[in-house]
Amino acid sequence: MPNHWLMTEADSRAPYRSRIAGAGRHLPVTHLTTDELMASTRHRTHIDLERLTGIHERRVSVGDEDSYTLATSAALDCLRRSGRPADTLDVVINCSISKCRKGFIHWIEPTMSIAVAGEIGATKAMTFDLSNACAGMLSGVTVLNNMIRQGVVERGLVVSGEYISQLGRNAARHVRNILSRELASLTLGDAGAALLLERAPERAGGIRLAGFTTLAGHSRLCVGYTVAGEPEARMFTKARAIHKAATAAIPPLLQEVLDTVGIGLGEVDHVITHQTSARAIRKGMAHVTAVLGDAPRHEAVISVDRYGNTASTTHTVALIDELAAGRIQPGETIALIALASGLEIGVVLFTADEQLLEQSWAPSPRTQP
Amino acid sequence: MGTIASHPTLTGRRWPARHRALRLAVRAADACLDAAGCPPGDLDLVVNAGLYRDRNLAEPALAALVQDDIGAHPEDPHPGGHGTFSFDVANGVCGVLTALQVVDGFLRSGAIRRALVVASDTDPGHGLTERFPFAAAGGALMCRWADGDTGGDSGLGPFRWTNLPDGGESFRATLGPRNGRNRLTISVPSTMDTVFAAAAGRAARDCLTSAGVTPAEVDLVVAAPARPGFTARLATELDLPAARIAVARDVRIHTPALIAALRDAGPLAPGSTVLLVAAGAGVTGGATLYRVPA
Repeated sequence: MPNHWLMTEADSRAPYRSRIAGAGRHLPVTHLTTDELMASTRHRTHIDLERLTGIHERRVSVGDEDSYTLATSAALDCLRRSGRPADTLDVVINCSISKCRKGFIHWIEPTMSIAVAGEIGATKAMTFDLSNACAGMLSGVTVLNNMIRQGVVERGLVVSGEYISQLGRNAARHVRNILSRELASLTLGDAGAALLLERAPERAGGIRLAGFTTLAGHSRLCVGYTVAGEPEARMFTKARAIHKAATAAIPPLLQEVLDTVGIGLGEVDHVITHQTSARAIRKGMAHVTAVLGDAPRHEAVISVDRYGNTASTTHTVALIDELAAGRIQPGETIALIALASGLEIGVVLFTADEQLLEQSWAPSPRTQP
Repeated sequence: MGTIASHPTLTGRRWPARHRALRLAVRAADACLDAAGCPPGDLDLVVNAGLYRDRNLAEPALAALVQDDIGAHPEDPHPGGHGTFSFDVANGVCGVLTALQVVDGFLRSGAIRRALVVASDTDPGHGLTERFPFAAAGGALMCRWADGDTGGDSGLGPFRWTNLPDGGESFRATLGPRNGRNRLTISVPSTMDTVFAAAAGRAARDCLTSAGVTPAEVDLVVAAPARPGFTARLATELDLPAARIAVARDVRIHTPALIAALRDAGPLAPGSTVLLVAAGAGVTGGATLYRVPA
């Protein structure tokens, strides 16, 4: 029986290793400030959402984007930056929660991945969708990492497009006060993201560990579903209970990850957690530091202030900001920490290599499928 | 050495009021674990490939709810134990085959020892549908790794896939606003069986060629979906008599169709070579060879 709590892919028995070879994102052009959103609530809520969450604004589609266009544009951005032709992709995995095409039409079948693969020209890629709430992309990375390590594929794309701001607009009609279970919906923003993984050459940087677990006793704390009479969906969250459960579980799980790769938290250079609220991230990391008696070299990355919670895309959206700002150096270790409804907790630990960092991380010209 | 898939289990609707996708998946999972003699706590991974569930639940993954309800380590991490990981995949009727490939990869790497693949569909209800065309059904399949001493060259793999993208023309299911309300719309044109069989046939031939096996050397083909038009055309594609293709008895079963076909095929002959093949919306075809342990 495995002696890890996390389902972990880390040891060196696999024939190959994988590396993160590219990242891409696409953000809608429209900014929606928290002040503007809260001014649109039907009820007088008396909630200072910006103070509560640290979110100043998020990007939203105003009908110009949907899950499909966001995912496709992010995939094209990723391929352009990394210089990898689409027809060299062996697999495309779409991991979004929302699957809206042509507005609010949610596609159940066919998959979003086959549509994205077709649009970007990934003609020989196998395709499937993976769904794991806000942990979707990192779950996809965990699956693709395994496929590359086993030699099933050499190169693949994990992609997502989250058109979820409509949940915020729905919630603005229903939220009455700070105790509302739809409060978290007001933090959402839209974004597309893509990560390209490929077989790593010998001694190159790469993914050192991918590990995940589901604390399913907490699986009912955040649920999202479609309501017949309203556009898009609604999400109901017991945010405090999730935060409490995650705060308790993350330190021992992170310690397990560090023990598995044989490093201390002080040897992790950058931590990018799922972006829900700036306050929750800071409090959570302070707790980790207190429990483990060590801290990562840099403060945990915060991007939620600018983009809100963009669901499965948050880690990639934040990573690209860090790369563009030149804050990541070759050889540095980055921990991407997933926290999602389920309760899903996962860690992808990777070393950034020169080939990744030397790509042009300047803001991308607007790419449309 | 290889991944052994066993104890295919199927549950159908018994009480109209209780046909929730979660309940169907959980009942199938419980029965599968019971038949396999596997305590839920021994599961390292649960992958759900079902698509149609109450209210079109978007999050969490249905697999997490299944994990909770079957009691596979729902608790918080504690020393000396191991947890269970759950997530959903979606690939139409090919979803179970996709889940098997994902599970096979993690078994192969040693990241897990036992996994459960589940799939269930039900009418999303709650005013979202007018007429749901698929059977309310749940399926579960036990997966474990067999090492060289007991497994020989038995197990799953390799997997081969074919995409014939058609933008959803030959099968499409969408949920979106219609007359001011969200409605599930499923379109099944008459061309579906032909295109699905072409995709499945191509993936199957690729799979057999890569394994150096001729169609005549395959003892049994287990296929999904179970539609008679698809099965007949697949037989032609593979140049095999239709009697060699096993499908689910209930043709209306959707995502659990491959598990249902395995269940309805009865015990697989020890040492036999079985071709698992599926086709789904996209159009996507997938296939793998399963060498049944001797």
